[in-house]
Order: sequence, then C-alpha cells, then structure tokens
Amino acid sequence: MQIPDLWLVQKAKNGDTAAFGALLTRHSRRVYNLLLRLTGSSALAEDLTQETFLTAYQRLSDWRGVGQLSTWLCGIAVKHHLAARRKARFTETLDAHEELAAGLSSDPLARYTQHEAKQALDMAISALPTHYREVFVLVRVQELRYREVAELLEIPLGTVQSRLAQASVLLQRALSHSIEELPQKGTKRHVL
Amino acid sequence: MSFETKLRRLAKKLPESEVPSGLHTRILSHLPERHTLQKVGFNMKLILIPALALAFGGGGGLLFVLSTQTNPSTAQRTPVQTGPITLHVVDEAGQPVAGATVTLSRYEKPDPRTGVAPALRVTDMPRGTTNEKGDIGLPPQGITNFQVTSLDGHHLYATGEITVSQGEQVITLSEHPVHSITGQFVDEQGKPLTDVQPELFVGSQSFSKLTPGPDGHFIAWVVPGTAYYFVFHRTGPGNPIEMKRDLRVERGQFLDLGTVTVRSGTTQAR
Repeated sequence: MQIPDLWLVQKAKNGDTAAFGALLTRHSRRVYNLLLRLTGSSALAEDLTQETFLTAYQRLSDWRGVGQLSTWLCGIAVKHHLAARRKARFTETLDAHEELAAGLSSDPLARYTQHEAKQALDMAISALPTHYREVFVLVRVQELRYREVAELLEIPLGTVQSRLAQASVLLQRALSHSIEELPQKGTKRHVL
Repeated sequence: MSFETKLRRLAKKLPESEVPSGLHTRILSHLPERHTLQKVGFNMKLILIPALALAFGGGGGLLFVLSTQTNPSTAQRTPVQTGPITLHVVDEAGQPVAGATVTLSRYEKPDPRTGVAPALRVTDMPRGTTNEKGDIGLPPQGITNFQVTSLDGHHLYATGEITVSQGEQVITLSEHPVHSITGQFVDEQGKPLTDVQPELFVGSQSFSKLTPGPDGHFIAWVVPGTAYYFVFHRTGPGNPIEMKRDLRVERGQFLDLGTVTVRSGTTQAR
C-alpha cells in the first residue's frame, strides 16, 4: 500500500505539501536516527533533521529517482552535520578512545543478552571519537558504500577504510565480552 | 563467528529512537513561503449523497466526513494537509468494521463531451483492510475525489465519492447482501476484449468502475433493487464506442449480461 517515493516527490515539487508530508513521515525516522548517532545530541539531531528536510524540499528537483530517496536524504543530513561541526569548531582529539575503552569494559557481564549487546553497542558508538563514529555509522549502520561515505565526508577512500578499521578496534575493546557471549544460531541460552 | 561479523550484524539492528513529537509540524511550518501552511479550522460535515440513499433504500449511504479544512477567508491555494488520513469505518450502529477491504480509485476528470471517464485510469491509489478498530491509514493525497468501495466478500457495504482533505474520515456503512452483474466483452470475431472500460452509474453518480479480466469477463458488485446505468467505451480504430443500458438487479437474483459484442461504431448485447 506504499506509494512510490518518486510519485510523491513529483507531487511535492509542484507544491503539494501533503505529498512532502508523506515523505517526511516515511523518512524522518532514518534521518533523525542517523543524525542522533552522528551528533550524540537529540536537540542537535532534531534541528539538523529540520534543516535536512527543508533543504530537501528546496532541492527536490535534484533527485531524479536514481538510487533511494532515503540515501539522498542521508547525504543532505551528513552535509548539515559536517557544517554544524565545523561551525562549532569541534576540537575533540582522537585520544578519547582510551576513555571509551576503559569505561565500557568495566562491567562486561552486565551485557549478556543480544538486546543488551545492542544497547551497549549503541552506547559505544556514541562514545567513539567523532571521525570514527561518522565513518562507522555511515558504513555499518546506514550501509552506505565506502565511496559514497568518502564523497560525503570529503575524505580519501583509504581514510574511510582506516577509520572504519580503527573504529572496529575501539568497539572491540569495549564490546568483546558482550558480543562474544551472544547466543549462536540454533543454541538456547539460560539466563541466570 | 568473528567479532567483525557479529559487529556488522548488530550494527544493522540497532534500536532506533522515535522522531520527537512536533518535529514534523515544525518542519512543515517552515517550508518556503509559497507553500506555507494555512490557518486551519475544524469543520463537521454531514454529506447525504442522494444516489447512495437510493441505493441503500434510504436507510444507509450516509457519509460522515469529519475533517479539518482551511479557513475559507485565508485559503489561497489548494488546501494543505499536514499528515496521514485515517478512514474510520463503522456500521450503522457505530461499531467499527474490521477486516473490510477498502479500495480507493482515482480517475481523471470525465470527458466534458461524453461525460464518461476517459481511458486513463490512475491506478496508484492504495488498497487495504481495516484493522480491529475499523481504521485504515492512507497517505495524504491532496484534495482528490476517491471512489470508495468496501466489501468483505459476502456483503457490500457502501461506495461513493468523497473528497478527502485532512485528518479523519468517518464512513458509516450499511450492510447489504452481495449481488452482481456479470458479462463478457468480445469483438466481432468472438475474441475477448480487455481494453473496454465499463462503469456503473446510479443517476449521475459513478458507482463502480470495472476492469475486464484477460478473458474479457467482468463482474460488478451491486445493491439489489437499484437502477443502474451501465456505460462502457472503448478506444481504437473506428472508436470510441459508447453504450448505455439501464440495468436493475432484483433481490436474490444475479444478472448475467452474457456476451457483449463490441463492433466499431455499434454495440450489441446478446
């Protein structure tokens, strides 16, 4: 029962805000969650989501139905995130991962079920240094291609790969206990 | 399973947060000036469609439309909507009708010369089933006329044209046993025709638009004891062809028109 995005976009381009409202309802969750993970701030994510959709509304003609609309929207969201980060003169150092690893490995047994592991991963991602977090979220969570991420973040392809590898190392330190204890397929677990 | 594999699997299934309430409204209210949301006011309408009243023996066919509409004094363009539309389907006792199939169709404006629907049918409208609360959600479509038909397989409830605007549309349905009109379109050589557009009218009100199957057969659910006009047209060499017939199905009967032979310039029902 879902109407194609392209049809709604064409209506929205002609000023049909109802159609744009439908697109908003359909895609805002993904965009908001992307920005929430990139920024770590719900207030900032909310503002950037608004800017993302206002920009999208003005540039609907740029999307011609090639590729998924949600990917195009995420691209706009990342641009706004980068602009906000530059504006805030973000000065976080990459050494922050030491604090991350120490903080998350303190109680690995608490992260026992898959649900808990997801929550732990979510927390660990939010604690990653920004440069690593951006790459990890875009590649692993949003499932964008390396080349797309390189273009969005305006960094070389090799940097995407190295930051992703480093992000995995940082996350492994924090999550190895909880993830290694995840139930394998076909096995039953007993929660004590 | 390696850590990297587990990490990738988990990353795809991370919990998502809900979009903060009010964000959609805030975004829509900040759209560029030419599309700015207009002031809205609540309006309660009770629409009685005469044709439907006839169709349901005067006891049903009431279409209640509760909607928010733009204030006439501030409306400048097409009324604006801010969210999805919910059709709330209830029976005459006001109880929700669950599991009813709701089909929405939209057609281009009738040909001013012939007064019938053109060949082009807009088929991108949704179809769905009401939930246990009798609701079915629809994406906002702008101000558009819809043909609404609700059928649960055994009983025809109601059909009619509504103008969907914004918010919630409450449709009160009357229950009637299903009766049908059937037939088959063929050309002069007896070959089934599928490019014929038949339509049923009650008075001047479009009741049902049909699509012949691959073998030219068609079926229309109708309400017994009601007078219909059966109209069809076909485009192509030597066409369009139009045919109008008065039809009436009595209670407990099924009307089979048999083979309807379509010739260029003439039509004949055998």
